[in-house]
Amino acid sequence: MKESSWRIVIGALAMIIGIIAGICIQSSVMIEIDNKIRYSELLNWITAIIIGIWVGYILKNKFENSKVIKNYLLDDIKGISIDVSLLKVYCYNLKPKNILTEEERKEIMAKLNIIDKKILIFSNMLLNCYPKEYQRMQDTLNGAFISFNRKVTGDEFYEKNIANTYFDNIVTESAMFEICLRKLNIIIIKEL
Amino acid sequence: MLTNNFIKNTMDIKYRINVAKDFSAYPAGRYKSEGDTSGEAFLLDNLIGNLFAAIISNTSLEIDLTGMNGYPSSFISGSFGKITNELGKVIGIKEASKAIKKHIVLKCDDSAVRKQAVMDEIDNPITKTK
Repeated sequence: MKESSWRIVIGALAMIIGIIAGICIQSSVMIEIDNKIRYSELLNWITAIIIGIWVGYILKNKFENSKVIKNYLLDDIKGISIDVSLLKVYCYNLKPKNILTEEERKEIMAKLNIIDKKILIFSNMLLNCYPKEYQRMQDTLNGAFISFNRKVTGDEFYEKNIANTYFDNIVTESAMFEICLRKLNIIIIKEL
Repeated sequence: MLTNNFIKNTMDIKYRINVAKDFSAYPAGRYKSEGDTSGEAFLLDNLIGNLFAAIISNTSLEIDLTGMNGYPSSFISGSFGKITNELGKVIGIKEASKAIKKHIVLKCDDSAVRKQAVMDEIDNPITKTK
């Protein structure tokens, strides 16, 4: 049997033993009804109600809102990751050629633009919802994209005899970008 | 959205360039030989004159990067990097980037990265000879 299954069985047994022990103790003690109102008990009730409202309404809502925002941020990162991957594949498929046509350059620029806009959407949401974490995460993301953009649209982008290393470097840089995106994913899941 | 390497510019803005409207929304390449929308063309036709005028009058030049369709690194390097490099040959790269950043205000409403890319280039210009 798995360790987790054993834990469930032990937990259930402990609960049953607890219930039986509770019944035994209760039956051995005579129940008396005290009609006096004690202010300490009233305070106890009010405190319990306030804590109940705080946990059930405020804390739960806050947690659920945070979950929704995190899901949006994670989806944004996922979208960026997919677009980076698509651009990498598009560029790598051009490797057999040694010059890019105007149309191919436009296509690459358009794909980079889409990534840029997705970063903008992510950044705005991050700034609005987690302003304290914004700068650190934004610097990481910006750095990765600038570096990727530099590799893709560097001087070789316009050269007439593009070396194979240009395409290989794009693959390497896209992997670095992907590493950065996964780091951001971890920060969103664990730290926000 | 300011990052650490941005100097808060308090000077009056006297000169303005909107890259997409005044130059091209499709910047491309480093040298003029690569096209009329290259970094070198932007440097010579728009940037150098306005920046020098801002420095002489002790005011700021606002460069609006909104509306550009991409920002090829060769374009940024051929314009912002080139001017830092050339000035750096006389007063040193560090001083040159400091002086340029003192008189430039970057604006961009449609990208979270573009301003940073330009600032990075001014801080660490990529040198390339023809």
